[in-house]
Amino acid sequence: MTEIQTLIRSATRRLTAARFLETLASGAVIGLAVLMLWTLATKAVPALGSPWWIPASVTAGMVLMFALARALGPGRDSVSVAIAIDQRLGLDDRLSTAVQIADRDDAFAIAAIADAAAAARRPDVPARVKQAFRPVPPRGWWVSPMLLLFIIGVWTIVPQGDLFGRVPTANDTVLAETNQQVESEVEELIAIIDENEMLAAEMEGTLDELLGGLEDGDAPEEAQTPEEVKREAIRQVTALQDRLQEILDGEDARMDATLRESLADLKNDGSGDADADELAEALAKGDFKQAKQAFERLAERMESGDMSPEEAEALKAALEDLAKQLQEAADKKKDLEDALKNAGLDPDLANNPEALQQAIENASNLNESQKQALQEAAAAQQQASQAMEQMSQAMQQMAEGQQQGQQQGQEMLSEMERMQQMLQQAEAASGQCQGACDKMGQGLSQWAQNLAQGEAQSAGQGQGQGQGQGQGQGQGQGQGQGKGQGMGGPGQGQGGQAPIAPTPTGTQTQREKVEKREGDIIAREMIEGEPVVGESKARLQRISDRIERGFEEGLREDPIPPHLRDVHQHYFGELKKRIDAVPKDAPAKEAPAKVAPATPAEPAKETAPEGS
Amino acid sequence: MGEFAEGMRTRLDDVETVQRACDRFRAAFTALRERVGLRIVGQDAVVEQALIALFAGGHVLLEGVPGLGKTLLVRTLADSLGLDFNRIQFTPDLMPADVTGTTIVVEDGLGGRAFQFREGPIFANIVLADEINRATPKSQSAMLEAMQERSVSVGAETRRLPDPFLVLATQNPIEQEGTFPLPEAQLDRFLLKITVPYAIREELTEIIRRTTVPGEVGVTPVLDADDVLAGRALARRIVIADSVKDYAIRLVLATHPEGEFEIPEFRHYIRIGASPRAAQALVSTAKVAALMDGRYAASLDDVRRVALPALRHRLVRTFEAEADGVDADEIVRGVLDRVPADADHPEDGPPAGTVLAGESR
Repeated sequence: MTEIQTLIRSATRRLTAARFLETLASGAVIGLAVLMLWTLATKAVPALGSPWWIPASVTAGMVLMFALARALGPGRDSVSVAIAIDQRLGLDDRLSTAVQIADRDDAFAIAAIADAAAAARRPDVPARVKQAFRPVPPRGWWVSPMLLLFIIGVWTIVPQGDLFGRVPTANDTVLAETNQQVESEVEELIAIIDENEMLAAEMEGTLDELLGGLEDGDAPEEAQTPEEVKREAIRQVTALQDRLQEILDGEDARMDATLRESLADLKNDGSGDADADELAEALAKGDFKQAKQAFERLAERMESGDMSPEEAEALKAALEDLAKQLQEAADKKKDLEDALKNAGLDPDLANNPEALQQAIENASNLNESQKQALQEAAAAQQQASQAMEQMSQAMQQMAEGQQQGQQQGQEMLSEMERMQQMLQQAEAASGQCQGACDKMGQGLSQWAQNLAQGEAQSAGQGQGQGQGQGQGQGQGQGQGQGKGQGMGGPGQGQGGQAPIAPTPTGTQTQREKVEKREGDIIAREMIEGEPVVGESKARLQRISDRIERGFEEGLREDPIPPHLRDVHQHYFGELKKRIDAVPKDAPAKEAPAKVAPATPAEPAKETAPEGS
Repeated sequence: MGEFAEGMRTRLDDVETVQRACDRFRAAFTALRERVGLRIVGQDAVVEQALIALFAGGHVLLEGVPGLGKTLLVRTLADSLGLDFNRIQFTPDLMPADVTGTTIVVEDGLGGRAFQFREGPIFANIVLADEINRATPKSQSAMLEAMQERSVSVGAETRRLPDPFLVLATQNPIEQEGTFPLPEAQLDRFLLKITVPYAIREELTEIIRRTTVPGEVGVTPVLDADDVLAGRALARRIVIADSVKDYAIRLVLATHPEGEFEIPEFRHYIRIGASPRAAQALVSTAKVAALMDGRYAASLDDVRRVALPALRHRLVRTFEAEADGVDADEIVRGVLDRVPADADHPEDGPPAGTVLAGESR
């Protein structure tokens, strides 16, 4: 029996593997079918969408678990496996019989078991068992890969739809395009502003507001008309531009302007030192970047000590001259003096800030805005003077070889450079804002024009519809006139074909009261209940039963000549088969309708007598 | 007592004696087949089924057109077995007493007269009931008790028939005029119904060669009555596993309309299914088939092998079957193709063995 049990265990293992593969294949088909449904549902209803790997992982896990559970669960018993071995190896049920009679001790049972064991011991049997029970691809294994390919195809090729979503209209398309255009413009603006850190920091609050407005505008529930989107965008860009203009008109800008104007008077007499000359020229041009570079080169040269005494002397002289000129420029305050003079105030007040402030406040001939302008000019002049004084000090200290002067000069120039760059960037951004507003405004006008034309030429919706309906109920040619709103100009559209609406119709069943009057009765037939129309089968069924009874009686009581028995049986068998083939509840064939003449008070009815 | 029976006298209580007995049976069976083959050309399946029925202890109904050697087969079988053989030619005027025998008045030699029972032709080991369907139901019923009880009752006296007792009845399926189809109850008493086919070309050539020259092939017995009885006893002890018995039972139940194992395709074709005798026939003949094959246990294939001759005459078909031209053989084959080897795992399908059809082709 050991050999038999070994064979049974070997076959059981292979049957388990085969069962696992079979269940896996079937489960995969079911799982992939579910995934396919999920994919189709997701494509149709975006709200059902979730990352693809979630349902895929859940399905794969469930299929695998199910296949494992079925494979490792209660399978075949040893008798069943032995029967399978016997059948597949043609062992004439030797093994299964041996397994079932293993506890018997009679001679025949022992002989049968010995015979089975001998069969199991044959050298080729284990190999044949392995061959006969080798796991093979389950039937229909190819369905799963096909389904998988199909799902991938659906997932990648089929576009996302929205079965229950709002049907996009022409307006939605325009709205989407408008949103895209607005976003593009705003992104460009933001990019320009972000190029300069200082400007970005200045504009931080305004940019946040702008971005917030854009994001809110994306929400479908807040979807407006393209015109409104553009108008809102223009409003926000305009606000941005206003903020930029505030920067350009602000204290820093005025100080920058005053500073450059004052520095423009700097003269370069050709000191002999190239860097010092370049520094002076750059300051005179108001190019703080170039000035800073020249200053840094000077500082490096002085630190390195590579200059000859003549060169050092020349440089010192050049710096002292520059310091002197800067100090003079700081003291000059010509613009402020002119402004004070124009305002009817003493120009000398420019040199006394406190007295100037007091004088402006007390000036009765100036309105508030003039006072404010004077105060701003005074502040700008003061800052510019202060900056030039510091620059002058820095130059003087450099000329004297002090390290502090270099550092201070570099900081000053760096600060000025940054401010200058910020102002330049703000100016560029302001120009961009203006360009964007112009573009969107132009688009707004175009849109209004298109809308008027498009709507009028479409199925008669909107204004065109109104006129079309008014003139001819769906067939009239209407002259539509669309009016652009906002920045757009007036649009003109040709009225389109008005929609053809189906005439509302319906049916209503009603019984008319008929009055009976005296007259000749032509025909009358009383029918109880619903008349049965068509062929009646009741009698045919009775005939069928009688045929069966008659046939049996004919065989038993009135013997039919034997040579006719087959003919008799065939005839009645055919007949009964045909009768039984007619479904008992099948609708009767339409018999030629017999129309009974109706009484004057009753409608005509079709009848057929039962058993016809 | 024959050599085979002599060997069987040993107690079969160890594996070696069992193996020897089975080997002897197989040798005797082979010798018997060869001996029958001296006269019967071809018809291997018919001969095999007849021998299976002989050792299973059942009666056989041979059906075939005239001239196919049915009678010769039975006579040859009797000659090969050295058994008493009688032939009864059934005709419409055959009386029951013509079969069973009757009591006659005879002189006792002392001047007196006495009643004496004269045995009919049924009193033989092998009885050929030729064209059994030509006799009236009354005479046919005389066979009933003899076939089932293996005894004959005449008057108040019951007489045992010799053992072994084997009825081989023949009937002609074509000439139906003046015949009386066997009732279902009597058909059920036949263990097997063997359909005798036409001879094929080579067989016919051999038949002509043997029968158109002077002289007749003599057949000497190879077994005797004791050998047959010993063979039957041996066959009864063949092991049959529960799974094989269950298969035989499921085959029978599959022929029962509206039953647990009914085959839906044949629901309208079977009016009456096979009786419990069918299950007995399947098991007993499967054991002989296993023994004949040199095995100690019957297999599913053995059951499948004998299923057609054991079941075909036990089914009563419906009008629909008749109208559709579906005969009993087709139904049985359909059942065999649909009943699985393992009831718990129908996906494994039916056993793969051959079906002993009767046709030699």
